Amino acid sequence: MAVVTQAEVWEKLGTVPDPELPDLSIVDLGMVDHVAIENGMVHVELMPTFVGCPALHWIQDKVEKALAPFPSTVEFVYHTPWTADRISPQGRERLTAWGVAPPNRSGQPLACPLCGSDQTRRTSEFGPSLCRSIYYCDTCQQPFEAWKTL
Amino acid sequence: METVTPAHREALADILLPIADDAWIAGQRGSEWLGMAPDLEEDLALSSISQDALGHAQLLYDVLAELGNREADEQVYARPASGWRHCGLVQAPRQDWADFVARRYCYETFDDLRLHALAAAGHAPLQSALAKILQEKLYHVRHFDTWLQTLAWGGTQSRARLQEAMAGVFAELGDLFSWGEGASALTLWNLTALSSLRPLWESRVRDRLEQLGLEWPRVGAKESDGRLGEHGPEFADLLAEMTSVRTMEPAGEW
Repeated sequence: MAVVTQAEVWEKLGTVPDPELPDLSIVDLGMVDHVAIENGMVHVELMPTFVGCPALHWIQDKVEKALAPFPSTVEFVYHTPWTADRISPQGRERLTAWGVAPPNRSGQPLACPLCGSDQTRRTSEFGPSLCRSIYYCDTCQQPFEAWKTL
Repeated sequence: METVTPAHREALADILLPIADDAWIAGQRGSEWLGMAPDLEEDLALSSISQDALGHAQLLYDVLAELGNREADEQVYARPASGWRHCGLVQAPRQDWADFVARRYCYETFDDLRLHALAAAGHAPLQSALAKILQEKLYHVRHFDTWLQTLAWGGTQSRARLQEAMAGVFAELGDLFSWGEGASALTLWNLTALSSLRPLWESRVRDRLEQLGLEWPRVGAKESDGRLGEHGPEFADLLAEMTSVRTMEPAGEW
């Protein structure tokens, strides 16, 4: 059997979506910490975005399916904690396009992902999943979600 | 290079079980509010916080399992009531919202201090786990502090109920600060700072209550010590419910 390359593995990992934000891949999110290929076996180390994330097993399953027919193992690692800075520029763009404001460390108000206004305020630190908070835009008068800045 | 002797391994279980069990039971009790919280936002928030707490407990059980202790599933589903090391503060059944806010504010504030002190432990997998847990803990501490403020300044009724709830919670604080038989374990791991967190906690909470114009209630004496596995009859009911599905099909794959 042909040997899979690092580039091919990363390309395949780029097709594994976040379960709730299907435009966004685990590579966009910066969840892939390390890929090793040994004797045709692929070993992928993933960094969970949140410890109690109920989607981890789902993601593991999708990674194994995406890498098939190459056999693979998936391990969740904590030696370096995932932070919001690991989301790639493409990931930030895709989050915004999906209507979720990307993380923001600037201290400036979040830009509304729907209309771009900075007249926004947080209405709840916790949203529909562990990774998101809820905001409201006073300009377009719509609620929106934002990825937590961890 | 770090060496973990069998004595260190056992000692780490004595140190981590109270912390992990507190998180698990807090997560379990928190999830009982699903659909009952004061508003929809809080329903979502508390669901997230409870899920986080269960995740934190599991990660700490995993750190123990890597050292040869029992696996997370076994910790939760196969331990007798007397093997659990959580405190009475997190175990109390659901009462009213003021009670829950007072209770969780006290617990989250203490757990935050405890986890920061624990980060001095010279065990790399534990330090990595804590770095991740503390990222999320910040949100929990802030959340219950916000609620404390909301109820304190909400109006005459909410303020009175919060003050009353705080008195009730303080009367039950006893074993929060206890290490049961784990005191020597702390020495072995150079973590004796963990046994003197009480004054730090009191100082932080006292300042906050003063800022909010709330009275400092009397702290109750320890009646039973959860850190020694003494949990009272209500824990038997909680444990039975927590393990009920698993008990139906003990060998099932989940």
